[in-house]
Amino acid sequence: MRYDVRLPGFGGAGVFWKRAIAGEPASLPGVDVWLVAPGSCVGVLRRPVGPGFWERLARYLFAIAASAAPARDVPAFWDAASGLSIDVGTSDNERLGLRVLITEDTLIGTDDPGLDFESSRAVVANAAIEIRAMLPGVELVDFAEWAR
Amino acid sequence: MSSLMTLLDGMDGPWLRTLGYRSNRSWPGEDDDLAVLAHVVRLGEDQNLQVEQDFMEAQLSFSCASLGGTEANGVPWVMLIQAVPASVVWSANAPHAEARHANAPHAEALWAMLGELVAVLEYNDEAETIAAGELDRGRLLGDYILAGVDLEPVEGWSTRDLLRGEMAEVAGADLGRVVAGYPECAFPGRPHCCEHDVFDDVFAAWRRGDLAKLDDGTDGADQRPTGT
Repeated sequence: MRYDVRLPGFGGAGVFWKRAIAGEPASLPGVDVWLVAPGSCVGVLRRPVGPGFWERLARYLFAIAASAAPARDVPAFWDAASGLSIDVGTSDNERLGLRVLITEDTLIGTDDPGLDFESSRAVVANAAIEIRAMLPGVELVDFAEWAR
Repeated sequence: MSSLMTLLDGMDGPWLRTLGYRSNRSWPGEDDDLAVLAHVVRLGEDQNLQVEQDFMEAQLSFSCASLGGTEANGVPWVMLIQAVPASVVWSANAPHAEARHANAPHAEALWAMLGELVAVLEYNDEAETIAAGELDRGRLLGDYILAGVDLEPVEGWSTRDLLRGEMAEVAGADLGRVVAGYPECAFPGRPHCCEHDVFDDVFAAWRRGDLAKLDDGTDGADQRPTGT
């Protein structure tokens, strides 16, 4: 399958995104999200996305890849429309420990699809670059300035 | 040239960067019917070798070893090696297995491993399989014969050890020295931090960057697989 954005990690885990048309409300921009781990693949499909979803996601990913202390310095990513949240748990010079959660409603439930995994800063930055490639007019330098 | 080296032969300067294997898995009587399948996968130009290799290897249920490197133009590649006893797959797939490969349980195992690879490649549309080969025990033993190694001690090795010997050769070790040092030490009489396992000794020296120095007295700077 052709994913628009890939964020693979160590240990066979990763998050993959693809642009979609939302199921509800219908015909609005949406996203398919796959949370992958060895032995499991949870797909959350046709979620609506909020305004500027991809640009905000790219900026967030680039910011955490560039930050020396992303858990402290970069606010968690949250998109209310899709229920997608991402935050950094651990980090070192090369790796980032990411917590990804997709909530069904505004209240976080214990059964909501989620994934804790570790990836490299380079791969996280590359995911931001992949988003930039599908967003005409957005330059990577914008992300860098935002991250300062 | 060994089977692993042959699989890398069509690549442009397959510089070895990463190397790993799993030693914590065993099946009873595995050497009798162990099916081994290796694939060389070229990754996307900008993809991260360590992460992609680790992701793919962990996704493969039957993964037993992997190698990774870059070609001369910087494009990363991985070699993924899977192994499973044919009888294990046969039992798991019965009775449907019988209908498909009534006389070829080995084929059932190869199909199972191929299916695993196809599934993991679904997550990476830039990845491209460029070489593949089955590495059964007979073929691995044949590689040692072709390398001019005394077969008598090698015949008692497990299939996994035969495979690890070929991995050591890809890392740049002399196969004859590996066989002579089996099972405990690859560099007897030479000062080194011994792993007390001939293969681990080679892999540890490769990671330190002093394999060539220990193996033949050169400066150890060139980590390119030999034999290409």
